[in-house]
Amino acid sequence: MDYLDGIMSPDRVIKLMSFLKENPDLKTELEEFEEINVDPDKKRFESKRTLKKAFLVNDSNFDDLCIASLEGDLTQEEATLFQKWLQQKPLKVREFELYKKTRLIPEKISFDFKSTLKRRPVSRIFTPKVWGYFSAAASIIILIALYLFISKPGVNENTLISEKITDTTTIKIKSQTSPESQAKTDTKEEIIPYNKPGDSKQPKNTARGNAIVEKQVVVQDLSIGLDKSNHFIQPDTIELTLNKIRRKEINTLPEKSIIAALVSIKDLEVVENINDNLDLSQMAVKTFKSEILKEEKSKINPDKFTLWDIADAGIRGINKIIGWEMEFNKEYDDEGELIALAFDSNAISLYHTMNK
Amino acid sequence: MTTAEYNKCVDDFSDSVYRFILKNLRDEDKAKDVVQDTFEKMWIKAENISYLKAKSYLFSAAYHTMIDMIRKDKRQTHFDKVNQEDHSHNEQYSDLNEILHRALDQLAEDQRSVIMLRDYEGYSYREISQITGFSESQVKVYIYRGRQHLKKYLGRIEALV
Repeated sequence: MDYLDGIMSPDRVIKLMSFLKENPDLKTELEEFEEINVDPDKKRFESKRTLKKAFLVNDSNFDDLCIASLEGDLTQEEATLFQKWLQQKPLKVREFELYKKTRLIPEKISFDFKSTLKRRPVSRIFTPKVWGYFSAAASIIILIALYLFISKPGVNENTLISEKITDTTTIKIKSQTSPESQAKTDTKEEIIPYNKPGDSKQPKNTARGNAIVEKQVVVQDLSIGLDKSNHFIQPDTIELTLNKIRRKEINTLPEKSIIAALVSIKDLEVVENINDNLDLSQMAVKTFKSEILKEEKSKINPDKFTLWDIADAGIRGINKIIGWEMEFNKEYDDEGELIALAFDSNAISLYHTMNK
Repeated sequence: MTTAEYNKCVDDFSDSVYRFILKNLRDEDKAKDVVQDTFEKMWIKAENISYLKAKSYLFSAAYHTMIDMIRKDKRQTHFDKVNQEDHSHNEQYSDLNEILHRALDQLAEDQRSVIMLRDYEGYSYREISQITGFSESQVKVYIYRGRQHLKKYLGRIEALV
């Protein structure tokens, strides 16, 4: 069948022919098949016209054609035929005119709030990603500055003095009042109990090795009350606030060392009292300004911490690292308000007055 | 779409979007809200919308926002609905446009929207289909039915006059 259909490959045709030579009966049968040939009939369907639909305008499709005409859905030929039909139907013309009136005429209505819809161009420089880099860089600079500027805690004076005081269990503050002061106030003897190391009553929260600070002695103007010649302290010049008394771990306390001990306590309190009544953030600001920005402690306002302070610290850090001499200075008015900023370096100098 | 292109869209299309919504809702405040919402939506997707397709996007977003609003209002004011048709013939009409808009108000929302998109904005069936989400044949049917309704309304008014 493939041979008769003409789809057999030449190789197979050659094989088929050789096979037919060997089998003449089959060759005869194949020749009989070849004689069967069906030619395609050339007959046509003559009634095509009856199937086709001509463009007709009548009352039933008039509305559709009116709208199609309005919408521009008619071809040029169809539109022409429709117009011709209309000319013959004056009543339909009036209807068509009504259809024409259904077309809406755009009104001039304006939206008066365009400005509220508009957007400002976003700066491509300061994208969130860039801000992220800035933040990371600033954090690193601050950390470096903190590392460089804050000195590590060493052996301070208080520790040295406290080390001289050894082997005692109490600190006695004896009273020796002058007649004048006796008249003004009663004499006092205050005993601050001392807990030996290992004592069960010893407070658990201790600080820095031997320097256990539990209560605080508030000494007001100790220089007045300190009588070095007698090695005593006039109690009427000392205000002991028991709930604030700090106890130092002292191994021995010869009587003559009391003054030294009290002096050391005084010094200790003078330093530590600076941070009294400050919360953590204020302490951090104060430390930052005193240690890094080298501001005078008495002038530091722990409630104020601005980006300028960070910038100042950054510049100082950079100076320290790479040896430049950039300066970032601030000017304040009498009320402590920042009024101007000045930046000075070998390359450029800037001065900026702050707007209030 | 850049910010400048977005702002140009505001200048070019906010009026037509506002008109389209206002004519549908007949409430200035609501129409303004829809316009605001629509442009807000476009701004959010500004990076993904080309300027050339902005107008189509705006009308589509505005249409769907409006439909949501209408559905919400329908739920709220279902029992207060007034049959305007009962009163329409007793009123005096100043001009054809006013009559036409009265007739327009009585169309179904879908018919009204597609006719306005067609007449005000000159959109093709396909464009209206893309904006509204209807098929092209649906759009065509809505326009045909809407026009027939408008024509009947105008015919009745003319007969009365």
